[in-house]
Amino acid sequence: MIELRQLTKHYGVTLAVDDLTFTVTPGHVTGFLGPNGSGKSTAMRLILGLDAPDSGEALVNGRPYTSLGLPMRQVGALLDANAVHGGRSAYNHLLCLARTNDIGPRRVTEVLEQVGLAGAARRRVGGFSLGMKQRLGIAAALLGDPGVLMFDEPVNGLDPGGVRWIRDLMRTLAAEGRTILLSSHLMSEMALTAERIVIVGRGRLIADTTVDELTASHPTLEDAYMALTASSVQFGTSR
Amino acid sequence: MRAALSSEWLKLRSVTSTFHAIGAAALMVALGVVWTFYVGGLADARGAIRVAAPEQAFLPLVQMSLAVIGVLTITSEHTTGMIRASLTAVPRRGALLLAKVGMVGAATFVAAHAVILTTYVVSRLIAGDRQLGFNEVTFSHDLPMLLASGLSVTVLALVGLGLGFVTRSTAGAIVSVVSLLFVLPAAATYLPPSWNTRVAVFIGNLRGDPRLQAGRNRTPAEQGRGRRFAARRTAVKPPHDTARFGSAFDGGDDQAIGRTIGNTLAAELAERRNACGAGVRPQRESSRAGDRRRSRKPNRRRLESRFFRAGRMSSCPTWCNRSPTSSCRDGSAVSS
Repeated sequence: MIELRQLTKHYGVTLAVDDLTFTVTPGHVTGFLGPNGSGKSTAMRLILGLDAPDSGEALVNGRPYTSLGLPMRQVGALLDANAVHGGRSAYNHLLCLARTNDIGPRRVTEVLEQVGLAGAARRRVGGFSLGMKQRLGIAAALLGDPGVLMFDEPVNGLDPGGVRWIRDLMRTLAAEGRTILLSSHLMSEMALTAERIVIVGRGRLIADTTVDELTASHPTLEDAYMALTASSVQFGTSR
Repeated sequence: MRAALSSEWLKLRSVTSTFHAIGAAALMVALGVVWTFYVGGLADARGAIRVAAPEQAFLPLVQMSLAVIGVLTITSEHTTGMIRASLTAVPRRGALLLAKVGMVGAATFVAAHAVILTTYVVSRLIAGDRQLGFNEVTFSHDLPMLLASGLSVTVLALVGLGLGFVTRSTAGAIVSVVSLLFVLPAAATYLPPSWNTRVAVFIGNLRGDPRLQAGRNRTPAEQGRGRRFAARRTAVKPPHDTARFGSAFDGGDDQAIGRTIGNTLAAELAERRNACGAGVRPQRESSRAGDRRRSRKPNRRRLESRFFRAGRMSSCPTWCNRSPTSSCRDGSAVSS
C-alpha cells in the first residue's frame, strides 16, 4: 500500500510534483504514466525518502519510508538500472545491499537465479548490457521479498524475451498480493500488464482509473493517454 | 549499525580501487628499501651520516594513497548513482555516513600501520649497525612517532571522506586533499604573522609532520644524546664533509626525529619569516605609510617598531631561535 497525500515538491522555481494525491493498492499492477518531466521519478524519490517533500506526505504501509526499520523487507525499488558501481560483481553488489537489511547470501543467490543472472553473478557489473542491469536492479528490489514494489522503466533495454519475462513477473508478484507501481512509456506493454492506471502531467494528477475504463472511452490505451496528456506534454513552455 | 558496517566493509573490499590505493601506499616499503640501501652505501663510504627515516620521508605517499580511499568511499557512490540504492537500503543518512567513517577509519588505520611498520622493520634490518641517524634509537622510543604517523594517515583519509561528502566529486575532493597537504602549507606562510604559524602548525598537525614536535617534546636525555651524536660525528668526519652533508641531509645536532626530504615545513618557514629582523620587512605597512607621507622616505626603524608593537613584541622571544639582532630580543631597543 502506497499513499500520497497532497505531495508537493519544488526544485528551485520548477514545480516537480504539485499537490499529488493517490493510493496504490495491493493485488494488482498499477501503471504510472506521464510525459517526460511530469514528475513520475520525483514522486518515486519522495516515496523512498530520497528527497523531502515541501508539503504533504508519502506513506508506505502507513508509515514514512525513512521510519521503516528494515526497509528492504517492506519496499523494493528499481529507480535507475545504471546506478551501480561498475567495478563490483553482481553478487557483491546485491550482497552489499542485502547486508544492510540482515538478508543472507542465500537469498542473494536465489534472486540472481530468479532474474536469470546466476551465470553472470561473478562478473563485473560494468560489463553488463542495459538489459542485464535491469535484471540486476529487479533482483535488488526483490532481495527483501517485500510487499511493496516500485519499478521505474524496467523494460528499457530488455530483449523481447525479457519484456515478456517482466510482464509475467509483474503479474505473478501482484497475484501474490503485493503492491506494484510500474512506470513505463510503452503503452502496449502497459495495457497488457497493468490493471489500474495513474496518469500525471506537470506534476499534477490527471487520471486515477482502471485500464478497462480508459479503453472503453478510447480505442486503445495509447489513444486515451494521448488525449489525457495533450495539454501537459510540452516541457519548457510557460505554464 | 552492525549491518551497515558489514555492508560498508564488503563495499570497500569488493572494488579494485581499494587495493590499488593500498598498493600505492605499500610502495613506501619498496622506496624505503631503496633509500636505506642508498644511504647505507653512503655511510659505508663516509662513516656515520644522519638522514631521514624512510617511514617519515615517504609518509606523504601513504597519506595521499589512503586519503584516496576515504574520498572514493563516498564519491564513487555519488558518481555511479549507487548512493540512491544505498540510501534506500539505509534511509538514515547519519547511520550510513557513520558506517563509512567507521570502516574507512578502521581500514586505513590498519593498512597505514602495516605499511609503516613493515617499512620500519625492513629498513632497520637493511641498515644493520651502520650509523644512519634514524636507526640509532630503540623501537620503544620510535613507537609513539610510528603510531602518530599511522594515525595521521587515518585522519587524512577521514578528511578525504568528509571532503568527498561535501563536494560529491572524486576530482574535487582529491584536489582538495592535495591542496591541504601541499599547497596550503606554502600559502599559509604568507598570512600575517601569528596567523601564519597558527595555520601552519594546524596543517602540520593534520599531516602528522614530525618536525613540529621535534623541538618541543624533547626530553633532556634526548637532547644530550643528540649532542653526543653530534660530537661523535664531527670526530668521525672532516669538517668540509660535514658541511656538504649538512646541506644534502639534515646536518644539525638537533635531534629532529624526521627531517623529511621534499617535505616543506610550513611552520618552519613561517617561523623564519617571523624571526625578528630577518626576512620580515613590513612591506604593506611600508607602502601604506608611503602613501600617507608621499614626500618622505619611510623611516625603517619607526616602521619596524610599529610592527613589533602591533603584535610581535610579546611573541618575539618565544619564536626567535636566532642570535639576537638589532631588533629582536630586546624589543625596547627597537621602539626607542
